[in-house]
Amino acid sequence: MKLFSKKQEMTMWQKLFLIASLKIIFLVAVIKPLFFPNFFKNNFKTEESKNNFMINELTKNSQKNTSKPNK
Amino acid sequence: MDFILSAVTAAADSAANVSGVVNWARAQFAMTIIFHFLFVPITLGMSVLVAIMQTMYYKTGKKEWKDTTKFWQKLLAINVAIGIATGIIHEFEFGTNWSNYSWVMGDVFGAPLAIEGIFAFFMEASFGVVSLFGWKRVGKKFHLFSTWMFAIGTNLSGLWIIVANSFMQHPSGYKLNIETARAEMVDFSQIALQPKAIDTFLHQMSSAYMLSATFMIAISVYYILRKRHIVFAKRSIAVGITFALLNAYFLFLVGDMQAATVTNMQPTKMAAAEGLFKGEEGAPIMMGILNPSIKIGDDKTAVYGIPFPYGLSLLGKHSLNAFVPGINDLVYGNKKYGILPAKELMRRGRIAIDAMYAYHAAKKVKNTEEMKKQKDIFEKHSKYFGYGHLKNEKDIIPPVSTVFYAFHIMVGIGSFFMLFFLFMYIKVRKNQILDNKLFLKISSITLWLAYVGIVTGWTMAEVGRQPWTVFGVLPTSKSATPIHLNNVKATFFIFLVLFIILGFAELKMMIRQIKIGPDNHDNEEV
Repeated sequence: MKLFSKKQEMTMWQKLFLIASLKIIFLVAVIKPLFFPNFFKNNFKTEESKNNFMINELTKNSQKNTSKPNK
Repeated sequence: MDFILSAVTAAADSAANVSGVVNWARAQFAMTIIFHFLFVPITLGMSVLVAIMQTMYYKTGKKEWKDTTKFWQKLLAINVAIGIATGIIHEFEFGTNWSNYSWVMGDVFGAPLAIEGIFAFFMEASFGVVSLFGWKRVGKKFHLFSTWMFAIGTNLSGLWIIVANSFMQHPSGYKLNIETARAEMVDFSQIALQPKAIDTFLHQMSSAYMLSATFMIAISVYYILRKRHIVFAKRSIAVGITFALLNAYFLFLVGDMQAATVTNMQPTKMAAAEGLFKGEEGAPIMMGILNPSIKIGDDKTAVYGIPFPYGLSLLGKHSLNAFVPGINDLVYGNKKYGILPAKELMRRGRIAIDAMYAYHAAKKVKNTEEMKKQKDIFEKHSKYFGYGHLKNEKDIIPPVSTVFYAFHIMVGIGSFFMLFFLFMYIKVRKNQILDNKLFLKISSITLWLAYVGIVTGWTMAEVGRQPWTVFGVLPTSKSATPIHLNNVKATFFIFLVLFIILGFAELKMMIRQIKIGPDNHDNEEV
């Protein structure tokens, strides 16, 4: 027995709408929160701490060289 | 979270690995952007082609033009629906895999992306819906207007993405703030209207139109070879071949413009693309194979093949005898032509980095005089900032063989299109398009060639930008987030599975609609 009669079959537009909607929900509601946390938002609370982290990242070599002062 | 990620990743490494994270993050970005880009060129080009066809219907009132427009519009809609939101993934990646880059460059890079979002949302989405579903619901004139607005909106979206990418290729109109270690916008017009952005936009749009034309040709050939919808297919193939021919020659012109901007703004990329190790005046273009054993600093033959004398000087500098620097000149310097050795660029870059460190050390002890002194040193050397992070002078050169072959494949396909579509256009004009089945079959293959051409073109652009995310300012190695390698691997495979499913869905729906053909709209009025 057929589950859907011909009239009840989804049209192409309905299928496209369903695919687009499911995809957006999957990406935004599942993938993003589970696998793509915002690194800066999650690890640092203030702008200053974010800046400090990045300055630290960018000047690592100077720290290793105990930073000879520039002349 | 780590438990889930480890379970998903079959080949999980036990510890985080900085270069591993960078490489996997790059591989993930490459995969997701290539998948996204399967849909983008068709949307860009087909939206314009559909608007042209609907204009023909508006002018002539002929039902055949209406059917033709509706058929191609339906395939365009499938393409948009499957491709929609695959670009959002990159926003996720910027926040997680590339958070360092986003933090440093976000205030500049984010502006064109935000404008793109507005165009995409308001113009594309609003007018796209009217264009698709408004055939019986709005007036003929407003309906045509909506179709054109959708086409213009998609192309303007593309413009702002290109503007953002061009900032990465040739940063301008910004200043690196020593206080925050973030780039700040100084002059928006320098970002939006820089020659790099304009050349790349024109090159990108015409290659997208070319790909759309080949898409139209391939499907029309399918009908002709199966002796179905011959009148429709002949009309479509004529439109497709004319559009392809115009774009093949326009691509040649804008490609020439772009080669000049790349030679001047990113000489390392052009030297790698041409396999030019030793710079010379009146440099030739070489069509051939790269010597696999050649290394930076070698003085032996770099490319085995046919030289086109003066070609590279003409292409890159628009002068027959102009000097084009080679890889060795860029790494070791060339006094005669005022090219600084990479070691000197790295030394200056380290001065800028040291100044940033010393500035913040002085800030902690509130030594304002020292802060001012370090700020002055930083500003004097900040344009070399990125070079200070490199470990080896040879690091300034991108992977030569990848860039070389990507560039040559793209140029080869573009040159073939110029000749082939000229020949096919003559056949169309003489009404002999159905005479030779071999040429029809070759025509259908041009769709895949166009895809290869567009992907290799972007491979040359993006791999050729290495080792930078933002040329000369921020190396790729400093742009990635220090996260666990397994996180990046896991999401890589999740996206791979998702894309395989979406790819099959797209193909299945496209093939179904193509099989139905233009006469029967599946009883679905749009």
